[in-house]
Amino acid sequence: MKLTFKLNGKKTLIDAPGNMRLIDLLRERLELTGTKEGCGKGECGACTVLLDNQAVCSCLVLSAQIDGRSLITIEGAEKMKEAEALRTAFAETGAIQCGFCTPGMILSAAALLRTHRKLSAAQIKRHLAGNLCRCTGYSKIIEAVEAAAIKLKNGKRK
Amino acid sequence: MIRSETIVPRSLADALRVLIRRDVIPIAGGTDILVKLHDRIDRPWPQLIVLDNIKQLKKIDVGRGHIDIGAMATFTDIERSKILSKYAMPLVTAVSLAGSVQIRNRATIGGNIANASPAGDTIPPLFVLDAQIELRSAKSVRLVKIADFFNGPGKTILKSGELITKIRIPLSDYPGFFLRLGTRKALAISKVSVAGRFKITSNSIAEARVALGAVAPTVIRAAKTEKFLNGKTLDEATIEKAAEIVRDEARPIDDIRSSAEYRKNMVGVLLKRGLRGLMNGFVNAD
Amino acid sequence: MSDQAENDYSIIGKDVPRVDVIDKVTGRAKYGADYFAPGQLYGATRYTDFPHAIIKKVDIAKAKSLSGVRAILTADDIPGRPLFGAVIAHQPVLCKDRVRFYGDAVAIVAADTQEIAEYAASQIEIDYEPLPVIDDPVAAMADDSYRIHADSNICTHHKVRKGDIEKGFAASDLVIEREYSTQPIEHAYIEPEAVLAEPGENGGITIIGSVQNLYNIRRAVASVLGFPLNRTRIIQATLGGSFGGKDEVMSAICSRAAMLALAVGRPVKMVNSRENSMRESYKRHPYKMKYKVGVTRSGILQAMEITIIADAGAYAAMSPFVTWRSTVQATGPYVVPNVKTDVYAVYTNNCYTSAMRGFGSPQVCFATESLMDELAESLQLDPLEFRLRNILRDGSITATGQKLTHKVSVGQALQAVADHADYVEKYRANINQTSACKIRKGIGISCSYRGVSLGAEGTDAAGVVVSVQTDGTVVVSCGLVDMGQGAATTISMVVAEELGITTDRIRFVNADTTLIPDSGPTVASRTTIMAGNAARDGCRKLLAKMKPVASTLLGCSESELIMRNNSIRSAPDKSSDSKTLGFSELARICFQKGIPLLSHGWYKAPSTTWDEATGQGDAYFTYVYGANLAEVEVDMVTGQVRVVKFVSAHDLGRVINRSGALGQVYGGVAMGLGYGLLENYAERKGKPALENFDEYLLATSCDMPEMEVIFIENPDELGPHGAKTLGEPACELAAPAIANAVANATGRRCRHLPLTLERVLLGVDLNRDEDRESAKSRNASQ
Repeated sequence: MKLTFKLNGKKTLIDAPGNMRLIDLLRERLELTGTKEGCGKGECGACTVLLDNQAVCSCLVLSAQIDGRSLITIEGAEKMKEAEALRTAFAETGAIQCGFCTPGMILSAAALLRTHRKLSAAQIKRHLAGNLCRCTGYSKIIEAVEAAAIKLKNGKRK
Repeated sequence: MIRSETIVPRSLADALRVLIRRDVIPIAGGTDILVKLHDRIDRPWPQLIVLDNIKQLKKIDVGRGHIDIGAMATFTDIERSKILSKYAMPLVTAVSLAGSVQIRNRATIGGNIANASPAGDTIPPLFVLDAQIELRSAKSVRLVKIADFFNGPGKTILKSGELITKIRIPLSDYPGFFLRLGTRKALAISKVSVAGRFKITSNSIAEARVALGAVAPTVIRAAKTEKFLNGKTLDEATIEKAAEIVRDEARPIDDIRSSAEYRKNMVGVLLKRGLRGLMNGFVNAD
Repeated sequence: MSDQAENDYSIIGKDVPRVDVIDKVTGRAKYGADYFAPGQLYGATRYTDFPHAIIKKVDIAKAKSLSGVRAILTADDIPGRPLFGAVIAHQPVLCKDRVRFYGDAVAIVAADTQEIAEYAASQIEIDYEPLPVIDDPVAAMADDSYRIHADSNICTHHKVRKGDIEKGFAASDLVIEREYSTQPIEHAYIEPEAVLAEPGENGGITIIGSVQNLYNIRRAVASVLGFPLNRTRIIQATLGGSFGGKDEVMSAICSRAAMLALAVGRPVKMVNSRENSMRESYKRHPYKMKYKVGVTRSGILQAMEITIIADAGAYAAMSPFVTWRSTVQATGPYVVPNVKTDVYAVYTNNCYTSAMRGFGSPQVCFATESLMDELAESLQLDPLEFRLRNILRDGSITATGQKLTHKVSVGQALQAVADHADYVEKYRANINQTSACKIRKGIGISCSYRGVSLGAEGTDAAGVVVSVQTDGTVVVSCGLVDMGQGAATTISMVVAEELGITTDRIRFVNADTTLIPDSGPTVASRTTIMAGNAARDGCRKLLAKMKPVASTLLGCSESELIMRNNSIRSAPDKSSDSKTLGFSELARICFQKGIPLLSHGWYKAPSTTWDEATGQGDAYFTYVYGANLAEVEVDMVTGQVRVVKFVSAHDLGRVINRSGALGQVYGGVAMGLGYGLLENYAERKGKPALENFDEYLLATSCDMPEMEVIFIENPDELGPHGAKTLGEPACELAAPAIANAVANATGRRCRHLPLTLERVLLGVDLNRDEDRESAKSRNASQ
């Protein structure tokens, strides 16, 4: 089916099967491989993208469900100031090891920072529970999200 | 052909017309169906009908004496609804504890009901809230009690051509709770869950509702426990006795998530915690 | 080699951002599945339907007739040797006449799309004659047990014989016997296995993908294809985690992808689903451990008799080495004069087991550290005091008869965590909590010693290539890989320190077997010490050529040169007569003079000794020490355990990259917490009872406690700048610390992992009588 949607701020037209999973549409058809598949079941969050600014698992969304909507992937994170701030904070804090969960983690956190600027560690933990990380023990990830929140609150742009 | 074309109707009427004519699977949030289809990738995919664009199915409205929740309302929509926080707190608690943010942003109440899992988190609250479900086809519409909807794990009375369109909850602000227990703090399927709601007049229980998840082939009402609680004063002795009764009402199995013995005990524990919370004035102790 | 004072370092010990972060935050980092080649096909594997069976017939006709299917291969199509295995070459790439576990493969398919490939794989018809499923390693040891392979089911038997245990027990006032067990667990790297195999131009094959140990895998693929090593090229893609896991399973997957690619003459990509990953990838060994231990009234250990049975699953893989490390470390970090240890690895029809972060230590750490607490309780000593009375010290002799000649800091580490959290006071207070208390507090400690690198397992050497470009930037590549742990950053930092440049001038290139010499496997936490030393060697060889040029240009002697921060000075201070020269300028001038600026650094570890008959010898060239402390709250009504605080102390010789080191500890604790409380790869009659992260539970952000880390730095003369090892020690001690804390809270001891709610509350394991198949068919009918 013919799909029209906004992808990382750009109007995108593509002809793809409506029952193709969004993650396959992104990776195989649009060659945006920053979105990762870890489980295919919505358990690990590595495939998280923002659909109308809400974090969703792209393995559990069909192409037909994004028609007319707006999508942000890690490749377009600079289009969103929260995601951009998180990128910097993740890099500076050392919140990354293997990096496979990183794109999903950043986008999940970006959705949170979009609506909340004052955050406790417990809120961040609860919000990121859908993004599994096997390397970092989450500690530096939480730190990075806190740092990005402070930076955004202070209005400093890097 | 392994893939077949997906149907994206713009209105409910269109959707119902398609449903009655063809053998298609309606997909709401997709968080259960896509997981199942993922498990069976070696077989042809069925034809799917996507309901995302039907706006009226997403509404949460207050009517005369009841609230109507559109079947496509997501867990996040329900979590954020002020009106539901006032009148359907056990449901709000249940959706806020279910899955992850990503799942809650997609999972819908209609989908959760249609999936008919005995561990489905919205179902015990809907039992105690006396919810009714509207089932609509191109030819008919009927309103059924939630308790009458399920026939077994994954089995419902839904007829071919019918769609769950809304969930109707009577307006009442009786206090209630939803409690669950999982292996992990977040993102774990419930080993057992308990929902309760109580009409309390001058410290005695006028009307009790207790429903149990993951302890039987479907969610069940704890009828004996309710009967026992009706008319009782809410005190420690009542709570202990109710917990004993509810343990015997549960009919759990051993599986990978827990053992039957443990589940029986925990049904009692959760009911006790819920009732103590009520006694101490905490609606929704968790 | 630690010839620099600490404050002299400009890079080492600092918080340096990882060299790969920009790629990883922008989505540009390319993992195995992110490679696409023009004309690529998709591969799928057909697994066996039975865990143990004779294959009577394989019929591919129906599958082959499907549109879009390009090739279907079976064992008959293997061009070279059909069996692989680094220690025992008996694991089939594709099974011909017999399957031995549920993840064994029978056929492979290449097709135009992933769906077609998987559908075709499911349409291959296989006739079997089922064989008895041997799922209990203890039963499998019996002489009359059904044999999984031609010889006995006992894959390996290692022993230690030190002193005379009978005399030791006779001299003891208290002898206790305990049995502990641990479960199989998944590596659960978030990136499932993925490779792309391309037929090369000169009749070779190039494979890029998620491989941990390139050289092992290259040997396997070359042997399966019947190719020489120089026609078999393996390139490591960015790895999405490995933890010891992307080795043998990748040998199989790479071989299969290569076979398909060569058969059709097109690139073939194979990417595992999580389900297939869990099904075919090896696990951490479950252990059954019996300890008999004797101690005097004053709390001095006299003797230990240890029998350990490890479930090797269907194939040997690294079992002989994994169980060897357990053998060396089985007594824990204590002085025990009389020791008799027997460790067996036994074949069963369960999923095979091999290397996983810890490599045979997490199991014995759980047993010894639980045992120390149990002994202390019996003697009415606090567990800290009891441990300190027996702990290894400078110059102590280990169970294998090795005299420790370096600084032995396990007591220091233990004291550090205990002091940090007021262990002794809290331990005593917790014991006296009333039974009315519904949420009880607990505190627990654990400690370990760990042999660094491979020890007497085998050749222990590694190479690093350092190449200075004409503009003064540097390319570094190494045969040991960065799988997420940060090796690229650590090695870059060592090079930067050595050459006096900043890390932004260095580009670390992932390993490629055709360019970098075989450096052995990236295992055993050996990367920092082995590659770090090799990198220093490479840099020193370069400096030997560059320094004379610099000293001529600056008019000073070589010893007067100060190389720091991308420039070279002739004198230490900034006095007026100090001349400077940019590193880039020096590089350019060296190039003009025809001086080769590529060097190959090499490091071979000091030799070790081992007598297989007695289990005596200098097993490892050096050791590291650590201690953990956990504080928990146990819900006495539900059995739910909440870890509220965690303290880790590790002597790692020297911290190279502080941020990276902290990350290793935090991640290790998370993995150890999962091992202690959540994770279990449950199998029933050889079939997995779970297949994805919905039932295999990893710790989420919500499960993690407040964590504190204490680094103890006793530089080791054998490490680069004194640095040793961290990755594995960080993860071997969490589970026993938590188990000890839970026992402190509840007054009941759980001797079996994981400490599920049911086990903590009822003291029993989950009954897994529900057949997964019936559960699945029930789900499918929904």
